Amino acid sequence: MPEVRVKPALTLTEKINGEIKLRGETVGVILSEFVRKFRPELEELGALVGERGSKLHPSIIVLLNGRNIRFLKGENTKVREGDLIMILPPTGGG
Amino acid sequence: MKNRVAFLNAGEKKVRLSEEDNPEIIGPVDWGLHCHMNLYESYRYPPEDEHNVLCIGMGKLAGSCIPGTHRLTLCFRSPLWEGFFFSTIGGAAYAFKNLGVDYLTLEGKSDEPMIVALKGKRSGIEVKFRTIPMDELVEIYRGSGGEGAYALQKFLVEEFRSWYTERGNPMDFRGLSVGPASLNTNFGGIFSITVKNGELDEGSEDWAARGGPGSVMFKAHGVVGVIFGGTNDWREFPNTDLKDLERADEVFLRLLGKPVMKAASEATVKYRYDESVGSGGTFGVNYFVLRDSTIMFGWRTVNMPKEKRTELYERLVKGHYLSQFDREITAKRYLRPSITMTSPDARPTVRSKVWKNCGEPCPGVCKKIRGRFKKDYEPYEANGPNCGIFDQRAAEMAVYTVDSLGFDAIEFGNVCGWIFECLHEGMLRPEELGLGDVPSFEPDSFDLRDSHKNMGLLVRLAESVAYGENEIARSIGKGTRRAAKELDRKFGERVRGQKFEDLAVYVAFGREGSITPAMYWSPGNFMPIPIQGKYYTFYHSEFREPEEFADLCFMRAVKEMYSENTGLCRFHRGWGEKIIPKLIEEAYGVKVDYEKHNKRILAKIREYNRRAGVDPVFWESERVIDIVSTMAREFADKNEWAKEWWERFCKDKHGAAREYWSRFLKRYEELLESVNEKR
Repeated sequence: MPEVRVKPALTLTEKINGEIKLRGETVGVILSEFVRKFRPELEELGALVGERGSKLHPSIIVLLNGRNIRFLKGENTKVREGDLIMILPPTGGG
Repeated sequence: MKNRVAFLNAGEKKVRLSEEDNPEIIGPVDWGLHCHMNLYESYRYPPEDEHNVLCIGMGKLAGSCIPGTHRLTLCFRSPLWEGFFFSTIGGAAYAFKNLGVDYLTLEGKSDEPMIVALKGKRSGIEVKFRTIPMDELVEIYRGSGGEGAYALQKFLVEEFRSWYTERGNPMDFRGLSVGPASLNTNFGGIFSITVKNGELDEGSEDWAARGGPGSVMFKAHGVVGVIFGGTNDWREFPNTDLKDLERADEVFLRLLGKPVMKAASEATVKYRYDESVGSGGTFGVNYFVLRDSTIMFGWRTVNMPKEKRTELYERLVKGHYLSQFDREITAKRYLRPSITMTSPDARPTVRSKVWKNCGEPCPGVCKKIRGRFKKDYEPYEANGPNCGIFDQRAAEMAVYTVDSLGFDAIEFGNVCGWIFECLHEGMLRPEELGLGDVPSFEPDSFDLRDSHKNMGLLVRLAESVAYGENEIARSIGKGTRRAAKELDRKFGERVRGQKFEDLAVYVAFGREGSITPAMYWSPGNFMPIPIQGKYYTFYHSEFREPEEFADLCFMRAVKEMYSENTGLCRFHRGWGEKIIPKLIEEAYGVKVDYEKHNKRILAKIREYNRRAGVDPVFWESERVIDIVSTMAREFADKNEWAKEWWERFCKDKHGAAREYWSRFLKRYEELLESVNEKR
């Protein structure tokens, strides 16, 4: 299984610092692992939704090597060794 | 700088590729000007002529991982304004960059409505042309629930989805399309929506509408849809690879002291949910800040005393229109971590919906959405309070209809507010416009429920103008200024001493050109400058001496060009105006004096307009003079020069207005002349 780098950004870094290394075949698997690992911090940040806070809030933007996964294959997007996943909370604008 | 270009001829059904190595061309506005000034000399021909090429292009930072750098810029000679113009679409360069060129110039004219699909491959550009008989086109517009431009966009995607699929994988592609308004008016916009895995991503739609680029695409070229995409992601940054987020972070840290996403996030900070305001976004923040200077009932509020304006604002806007928006759209919307100004108990709630952006990998979610309705301040003002509509449900239907019909929504809303006032004053009769009633346009007796009656009339008028159903509708479709003069000629006898022109709000330009100003009570939006209706002016509600005002307007125009000529979203202008030249140098190893370059662009636009025989024209309408002069009144107790000007306006309104306008123009011309002298 490839190992990828996960980097929370902006105000998520108030609770989760630095770059985390996680293993998985797809973005979805990596994100689930990320949520499992940091559930208390993410809950405190109000960044989880779903039953017992099982998922990241849909407003959170996930970039794989700078591309929004919405425009790839979403959580089914496959990852490769060394890829960078950035997790961005939404801000305002407009 | 080397530029790769495609010329698409709609008449000959051909595409040819070329390279242009020209130090004067560093962005899409430069390319547009080069085409219009030198290659096609479009100033010699009327705007409907095929020489009025539509130049579609991306900026030099498109292809990078930097948010906000993928706006697509469209340059053309505006059939409405009569001069050179440009308008942009957010996020569209994301698909355009895979075409393999910087710029695409649409030339020639098809006899029948045509759709063009372009696919970029390493080997070149593949192209498909599909003509579509007019009756079939109208059927698409009127079918699918009569969703006009939206229906055509769906048709484009369905028609070409499989062509943009390779080995089962959908490519990045995106369409530009027009609605019926482009067929019959001078202010048709170009509509585009992100395609995500082969499906339309509703809510991410955007328009290039100001100045009427859709009208140019159809009337000058016979094209109703252009689709682009492919696999040729060719853009490279030879000096520093800005596709790589970590490299880009290094550059941003060095230049701004913060990483890319932090800079992008902070760029939108002023539009975040603000606890002190209790709202967010341009809609929420503007209505909170504008207060009694909110434009209502066809700009008539500028002639009302402050107490009256405040009463209307409190009752109709703050008391309902804005509070409804806050309740439905902004209340407790943000995740707690992403807000610094909201209350500590703000949490995602069942009311939370996903906001969207234009498709950029951007943390700024600028699209405020309720269901299928996207809320932006200007269209919701022009087709809202300006037309006597103060209820979100009514405004949603009004804006959605106007958008669907493919109008520049700001232009239509403004013209509709004026027509409503003419109906209210008895200068026009409803049956002459195919309407069943007169609008409720009396502020004192206005009931919120009247919003729905006015919306019904707006919808009917919009359909009538989009399809050119009657003589007055066809006049309106030419633009406010032309319509005002035609109505004055036709009904001069009936209105006895009153003039349609005097109630209309427009910035006049050239022989018959005009444009609706941005929807703010701000003198800067009416000043004689080469491009109005956008933000190439000092747009704050202030009153200054004309020479100082000209300086401020010129400086703002120079700054705005950093964004437009780089394909950068205005929301990112805060960091963009500081570091774009450095980023270009980092990426390409090329030094450009942007300040000087941008001034030259403005001087070239003025030169183009002169060659076309179009120049600024003194304010023709009493209402416009009132908008400018009453701003002096508003500031008379705050500064000496405003007081002095207000006294002069009171003594001799037209004389003072003429002097103010002329002194502003003289100074602005000097600034443009000095650009040429310093070369």
